[in-house]
Amino acid sequence: MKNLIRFIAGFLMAFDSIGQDEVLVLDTSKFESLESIWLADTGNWVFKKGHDPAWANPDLNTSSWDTLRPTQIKTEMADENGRFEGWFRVRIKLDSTFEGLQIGLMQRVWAATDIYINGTLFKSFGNTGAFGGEYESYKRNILYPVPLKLETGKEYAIAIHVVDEVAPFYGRLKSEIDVLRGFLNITKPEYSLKIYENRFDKQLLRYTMGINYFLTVTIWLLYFSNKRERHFLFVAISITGFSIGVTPNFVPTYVDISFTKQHVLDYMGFYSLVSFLVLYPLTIGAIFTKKISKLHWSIAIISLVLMHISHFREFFEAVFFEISIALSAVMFTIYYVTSSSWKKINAAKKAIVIGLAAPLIIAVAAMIFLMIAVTAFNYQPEFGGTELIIIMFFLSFPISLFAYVILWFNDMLDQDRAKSKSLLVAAEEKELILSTQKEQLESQVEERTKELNRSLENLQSTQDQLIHSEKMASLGELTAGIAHEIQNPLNFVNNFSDLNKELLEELQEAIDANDQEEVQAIIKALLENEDKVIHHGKRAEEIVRSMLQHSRGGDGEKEPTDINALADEYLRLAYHGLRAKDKSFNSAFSTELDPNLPKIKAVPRDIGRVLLNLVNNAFQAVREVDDPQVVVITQNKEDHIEISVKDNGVGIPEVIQNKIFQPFFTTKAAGQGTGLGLSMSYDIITKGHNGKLMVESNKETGTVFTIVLPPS
Amino acid sequence: MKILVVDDEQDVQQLFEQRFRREIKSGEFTFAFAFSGEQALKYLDSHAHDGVLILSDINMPGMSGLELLDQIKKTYEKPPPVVMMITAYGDDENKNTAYNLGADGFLTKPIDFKLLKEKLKEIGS
Repeated sequence: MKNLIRFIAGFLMAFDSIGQDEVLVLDTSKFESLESIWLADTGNWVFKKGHDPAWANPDLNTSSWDTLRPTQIKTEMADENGRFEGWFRVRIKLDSTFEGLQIGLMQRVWAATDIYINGTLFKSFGNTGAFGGEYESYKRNILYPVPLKLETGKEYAIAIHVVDEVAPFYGRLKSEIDVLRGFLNITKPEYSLKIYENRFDKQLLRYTMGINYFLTVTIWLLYFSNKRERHFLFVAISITGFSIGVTPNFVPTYVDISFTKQHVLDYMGFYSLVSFLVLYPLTIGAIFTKKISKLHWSIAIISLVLMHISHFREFFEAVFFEISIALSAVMFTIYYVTSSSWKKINAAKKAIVIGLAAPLIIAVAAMIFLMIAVTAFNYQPEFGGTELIIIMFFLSFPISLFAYVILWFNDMLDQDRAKSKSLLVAAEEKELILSTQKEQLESQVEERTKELNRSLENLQSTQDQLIHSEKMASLGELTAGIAHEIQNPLNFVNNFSDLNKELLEELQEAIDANDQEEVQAIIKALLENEDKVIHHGKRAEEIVRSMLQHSRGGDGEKEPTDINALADEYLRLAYHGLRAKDKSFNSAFSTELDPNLPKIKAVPRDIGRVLLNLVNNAFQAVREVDDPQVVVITQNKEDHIEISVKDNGVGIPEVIQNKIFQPFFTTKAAGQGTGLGLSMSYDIITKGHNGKLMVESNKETGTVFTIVLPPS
Repeated sequence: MKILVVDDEQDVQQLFEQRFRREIKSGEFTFAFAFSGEQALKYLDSHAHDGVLILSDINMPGMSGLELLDQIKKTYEKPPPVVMMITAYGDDENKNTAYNLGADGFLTKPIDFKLLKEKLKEIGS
């Protein structure tokens, strides 16, 4: 296939070579855009690969040379080292229209050339190496023509020794990367003016760039002072990418810059622009949805890939495919995000949409225009004409971003103003409400205080009642015991009295019978019985006395008290009280009383109440055990006396041990106990008698309550 | 007839001895006294075959009269001693429990000695 193409190409060349000696006659009508005759694309050029200084000779026979215009240079013509070297030749003649016209010659490609006119070296662009030194490509950004003096009507042989190389990365000849049409131009004097005009335009661009840079810095500053506004970061990165990206488009225009530097700049610019383009969807996402979705990321990545591919292709081919798709994807994102929430978004965001969309639309419009121009009208894009579009493109984006930021701040300020206004109103209202509420509150507080005082009084009387009812409750507990205790002595009193009556009758009989022995015996029995009557009468009296004492009010006075007697008495009372209430109840009980216990100053009623309470609790605790035992122990210690009430019952769970002395704490069912027994006992011992009431308890051995009382 | 009186009140002894002085004099009744259930059981241990009649208070510390009754009726089957219960609380529950445990009589305090005498004579004859 390749061979076939070569064959055809060679045939065509051979055919073309028939007219190779024809002189290209130039007239001024050949000047095209930019006041230039694009010499490389016209005339009967011949080409020979290789190098021979003799090939500059104007009289050289070039019949064996290929017919080839410089615009037809292809990368394939380079050797395996990527070097392309050869000679182009063309014959030209200026007609009379050129008379008196100052013309120039210029080259606009990177290739190094030596240009010979009629065998004489006219100008070297770059260094071909033919005259020593290293090869160096022409820095083609220097856009000044070299003055060319040719006589009209005279034929000139132009021979060009060209050396070029394949550029790294691109894999193409440097010249081919350029527009080869600019290989060799003849320019009118007005060309310089054009340059200046262009230069003016470029200056306009320079101002544009100045504005861009200014806005870039401003937005970065805004971001750094408002770091919480993350969308500013995207805006800042976008505008930075854009500004860097567009910079190389004009910077090297007047600069003596090498191919490598130029293309590094190109790459830098290209990828900045790409990154800017890629940031588009992300910025949009950040601004509109506060969240960058997968869609935004996907479009950003697709754009990046497409743009990257496009850079290695012919620009005009890429425009039709990759660039278009990438731009469309980005525009689709903008459309998608904004159309779904256009009504909801505020002016600031609308600004950014317009700002983001405008350069794209301009770019796309420009590209469509270029495509149509190139394809339909064979328009060759050069500088000039597109500057307005470029300026619009350059400025619309940063300005819209800046407008966004300004409008955003306006929004914020408006919101703040509205907020502070409403706050002020609310504060005034609050003050009004507060002042009225204050009076209300004061009267309420007064009322509430009265109520509280009332309930405090109530509480105090309730407490008194409770204490009284606790006393009564313990009295109730006592009553049954007392009844039993009284019953027995009363029985004895009755029985012995009864008996004595019988004995007295018998005594009468014995006196009547004058039975002195019997009289003596009966009198002895009578006396014994009478002792019992008196004993049991006193016993009953004592019980009643202690009962009265127990129920009497709080005016008990300390008196020397026999604690042993008290302990014994209350143990029995408690036992019989419980028995009377519950027939099934039984328990062994005993006392271990220290005979050396001194009488101490105490309120017998109160100590009795405490003992009753403790003993009652002890009896309650042993209800469920197999061998119930309650022991009351008194001990005379050196500096105090101890009364212990010990049971072998179920014990008090550790968690409630510290609560049992609190008022109203009870383990009994509601209504069964006041919960005041132990707390009152505690108060009686600690406050009333300056003693201590302690408890020791565990599941296995039961509970010991110990009262410690100081000696009197 | 031998009668064992069980009561924690020690003066019961004097009372009974006075009340029944004629019967004691005439040798009709012989009295023994125990002041707790435990003492009563101990006494019965050594006088098992004397044909004792037992009069027991129910309400006593330690072993109650009812427990004593239960023990006696379980231990001495042939012939079971006659056991009469005395209590200050003449309620039906106590009475029923006593009869269920095999009590042969039930008296309430204060003891009606005339009635007791009649009952004892009835049993003795």
